[in-house]
Amino acid sequence: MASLNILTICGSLRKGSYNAMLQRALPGLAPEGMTLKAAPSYAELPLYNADIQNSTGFPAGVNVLADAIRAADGVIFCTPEYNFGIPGGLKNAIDWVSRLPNQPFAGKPIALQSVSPGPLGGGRVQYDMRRSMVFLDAFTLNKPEIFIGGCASKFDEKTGEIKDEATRGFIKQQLAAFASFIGQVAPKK
Amino acid sequence: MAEQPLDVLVICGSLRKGSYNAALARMLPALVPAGMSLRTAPSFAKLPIYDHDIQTASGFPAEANAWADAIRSADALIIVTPEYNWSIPGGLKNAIDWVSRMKDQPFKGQAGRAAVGRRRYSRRITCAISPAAVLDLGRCHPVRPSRSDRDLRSAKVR
Repeated sequence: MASLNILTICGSLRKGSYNAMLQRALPGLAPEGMTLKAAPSYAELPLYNADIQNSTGFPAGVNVLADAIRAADGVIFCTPEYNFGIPGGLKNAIDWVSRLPNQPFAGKPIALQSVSPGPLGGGRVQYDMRRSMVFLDAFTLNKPEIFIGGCASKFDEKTGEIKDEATRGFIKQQLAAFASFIGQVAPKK
Repeated sequence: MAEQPLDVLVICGSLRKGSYNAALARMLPALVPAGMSLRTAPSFAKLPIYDHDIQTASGFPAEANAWADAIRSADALIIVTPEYNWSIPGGLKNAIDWVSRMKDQPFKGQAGRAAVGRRRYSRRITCAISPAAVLDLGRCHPVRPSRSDRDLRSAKVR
């Protein structure tokens, strides 16, 4: 099995975030050879403004995030849905890195996951993420899809672990599929 | 007795000074029918990235309250925005996310019209409806769809 370094990006900033719990659970569910690392934070990025870019250049956090994306064999987004769409903060980070020369999402394998207390588990946000990733010329894994709805009963709030065995199984399947997807679309030389 | 003019708030989705969308927004007062008055929304540029922990610890940022108050007090909204990566700019979405968390969520029942300018590198600025951004805006708050969105498709501005 090829060794794969995967970067995980969480769409929520709050400490108690279920999507962050999911992000932390991934290493325990990954296939052999896959290591996962959380991306540096985008919380301090200013809101995108081309005047900033053209005067003082890209904020340091943008380059740090972009470098982490570039270095990774693939990126997994774990994101909630805000108002039927992508959380503005996450989208803002994507907007910033998209403006870099050699923008880091081009040709990058991507997988999507979302957690929600509601029944759809973030169905709409992943549709929106796919749309932006197409424009950025990324390769987004089609299936299996991970929408974790009704999350309150599936996570142990104290430990942050995923208690629901079926959910753990689905995630394992997706991570394994992501590994072979990366081998197909962006094989290591 | 003269009727009160329709009080319309204009929100621009781009922050940069030379923004074509901001230029379009500035032109609107000259184009509106009699009985409609426009004002510009306060800036959302300084809002922190939405974080529920900020909301519970220190409440809503002053800029979020100012933005929400402006929206609540208006009779209608016009949102003029570019499209970033086939979708709504993150900054504008972040502002929407903040005010959406307020008890008296300001977009509820609010009539709006989305006007989207797609950047063209030419002297003429053509206002085109970007399906992606309009779709996003139409989805993220209960905006009554406006038939007049189509009028902007053929508007040309020098």
